[in-house]
Amino acid sequence: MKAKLKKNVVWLMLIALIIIFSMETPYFFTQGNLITILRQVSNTGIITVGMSLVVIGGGIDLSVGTQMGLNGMVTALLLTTSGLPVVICCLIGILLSAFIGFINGTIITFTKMPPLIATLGMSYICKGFAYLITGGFPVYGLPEQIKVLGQGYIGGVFPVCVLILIIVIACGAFVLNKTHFGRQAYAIGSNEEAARLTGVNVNRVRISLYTISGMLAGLSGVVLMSRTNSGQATSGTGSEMDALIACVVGGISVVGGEGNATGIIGGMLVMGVLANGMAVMGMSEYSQTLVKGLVLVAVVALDSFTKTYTQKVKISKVD
Amino acid sequence: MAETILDLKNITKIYPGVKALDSVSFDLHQGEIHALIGENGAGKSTLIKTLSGAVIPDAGKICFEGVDYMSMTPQLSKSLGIEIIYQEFNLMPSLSVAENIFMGERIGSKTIFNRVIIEKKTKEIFATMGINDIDPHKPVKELSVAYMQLVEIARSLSKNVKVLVMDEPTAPLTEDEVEILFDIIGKLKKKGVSIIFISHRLKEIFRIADRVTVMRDGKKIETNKIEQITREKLIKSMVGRELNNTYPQKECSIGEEILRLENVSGNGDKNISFALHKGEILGLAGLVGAGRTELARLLFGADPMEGGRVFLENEIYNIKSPKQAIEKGVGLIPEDRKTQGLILNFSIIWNTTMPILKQISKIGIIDKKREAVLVKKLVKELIIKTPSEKQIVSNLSGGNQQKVVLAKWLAANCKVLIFDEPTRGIDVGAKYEIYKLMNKLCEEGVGIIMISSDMEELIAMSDRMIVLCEGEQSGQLAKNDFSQEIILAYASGSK
Repeated sequence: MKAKLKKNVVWLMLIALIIIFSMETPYFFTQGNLITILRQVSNTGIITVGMSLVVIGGGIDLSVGTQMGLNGMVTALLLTTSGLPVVICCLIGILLSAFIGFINGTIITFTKMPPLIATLGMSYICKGFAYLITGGFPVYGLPEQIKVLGQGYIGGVFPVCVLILIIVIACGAFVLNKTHFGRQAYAIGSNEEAARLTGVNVNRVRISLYTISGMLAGLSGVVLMSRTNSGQATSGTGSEMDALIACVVGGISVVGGEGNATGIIGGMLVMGVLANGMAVMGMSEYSQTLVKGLVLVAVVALDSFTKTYTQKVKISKVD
Repeated sequence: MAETILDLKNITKIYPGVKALDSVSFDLHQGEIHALIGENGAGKSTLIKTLSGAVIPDAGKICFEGVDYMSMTPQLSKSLGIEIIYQEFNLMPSLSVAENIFMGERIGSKTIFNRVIIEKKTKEIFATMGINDIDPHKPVKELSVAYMQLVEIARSLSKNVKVLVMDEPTAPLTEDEVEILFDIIGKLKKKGVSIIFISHRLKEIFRIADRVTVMRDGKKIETNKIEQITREKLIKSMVGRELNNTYPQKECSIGEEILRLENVSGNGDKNISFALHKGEILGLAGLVGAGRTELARLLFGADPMEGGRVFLENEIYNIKSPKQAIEKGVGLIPEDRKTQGLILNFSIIWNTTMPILKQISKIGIIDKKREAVLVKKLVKELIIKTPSEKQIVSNLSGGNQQKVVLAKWLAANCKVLIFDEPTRGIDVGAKYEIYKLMNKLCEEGVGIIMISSDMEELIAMSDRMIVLCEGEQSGQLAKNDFSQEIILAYASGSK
């Protein structure tokens, strides 16, 4: 009963938010705005999937935000200067991010460094590089074809970036639910030692998780670059936190081993709807930030409270 | 006769399925050293925990200096002057000796922390213990284990201790350090401190104790003055229960050699050599810390081997990880199923198929139908009591949890299985089923290495026994030579 409620709490929140915003403003519940929400969610959504994999595996990846900026810069530079085909440029950008993720995973695995610190450091390194490449100046003049990723529509209605998000989510859900790699990710996040003693190659799984997270940060960076039609060193900064909040709101345990794909989608949408609704209502960005923080604390408080509560009940039963 | 400072009367503590303490009475005289001995699980620690307030007894009284208490709380226990030094120290490694000793107390000024005063006081306390070579300013983590223990003792002295309980204080010490410790214990005794001394080492008990109490299976067996008892008698009353018919008969012959260790070293073990045969249960006996679990982990690739060679079916068995061990057909049922054997928030299905995920997957995708069928069969075969295979294992009882661990290794089709304390904390019925299963595995040609601190169980189940003592192989016994006295003698290094 309680478990069911916990699983559905994010969806209940989503429905409540939609009802509230629809009543507050007629613009909110229109086809146009709903698609806007999805478009707005798409960038953070893509990295949220990567983040959720890492967090389920017992880690955290704070470098994805600035990886997006670095990746956007590199790809934009390649597009404007190298003369390589657009697809190749994007792929190089994404591979670069995957490599950064691989380095994250390798450092964490072999130095036993706390992932929080390792990826925080990586986040600054990426930010630094992104600025250094052009001395902080944005890169403009991207080829027309690249626009399709962030600004294109299928049949004039459905945004391409949303389609990308849906594919990424589907892949993430598939990995988590169907593959033995996904199962092993849950295992190392739940109990690394027990996982190792049942033959899981903990190091390989962990490094792969960070690599995937990096790769998705790269993808998201390319999409964002396409949307803004420029390479900006600052773009993406801070979205690692939005992704983390979406994960937590979606029921992914920050200590690892728990969470599922439906929850992740719910978490993304709650944060997307919240941001959009507040904007439509004309709330300032400052108050939006405040509300996001409140939601995070409230959700985690509720979760921790129910957990300690059930634990207490269990302990008193034993006695 | 000195007066009695502490008198535990008919203390009973019942856990679900186990009587941890069964009407235990224990008295301690002023200024006496009273040894408390018994096998693992005899109830010594639980008894001590009632004293510290960590365990609330279900029945009985604790009488301290003539006042009766129904139970203790940690605060009450400390305020009465009862101090307990556990095997794992309660020290803050990065703080200094003096800071550790006066942790939680306000010396001198109420607001300002005065390092000079507490360091001076620390020196004084150590001086009363006859120790002058300890620097109160040094962080505790830079001290040797022996000195850490002295800091613990000094801390209890700073609190005006009346009753000092020491749980296996000599276990981590070298012989010289034990001498220092005994010297200090002697001084404390002269000061009128009453000491409860828990130890496995009988030699030490005969040296320093005034009286000795033996516990077994949650009951007090006897209390004697040390002059009135012999070593042999103590061993007898420690182990002296009769073997009854709780073990299934094993009906299979022992086959060819399957595993051979040649001078295996590492993880604290040195030069271990023995062979294991198909269909054989080889018991690994020894005291806690003798290196049995460590050896199991070496063989399973969980810790690196430093020397020696191992052969599996006459081929060199050179592994670097549990993954490789499993691939070669070696499995380990670890001693702590909750932290090592199982992933508690996983379902029965998920836990069971962990070692064979690759086999039941095609191009990385798990064949969930096959998985469900396989697990269903195992749950039935092992009689795991659960409403469904999707049950989260943390909701199962200890016995059923252990069966899930076994199911995992049955699924993996191992050639060699290492059972580390397979029946710890499990009720009698489930134990019997686990024994039966071990026998059945033997009939199928599996070689089993069994580690157990339950001597009776080990004697009944093993075909042969290797005894370890402090990381070294101290004896090898054939079935006919099994006796608790001999095994204990080997295990304590006195043979």
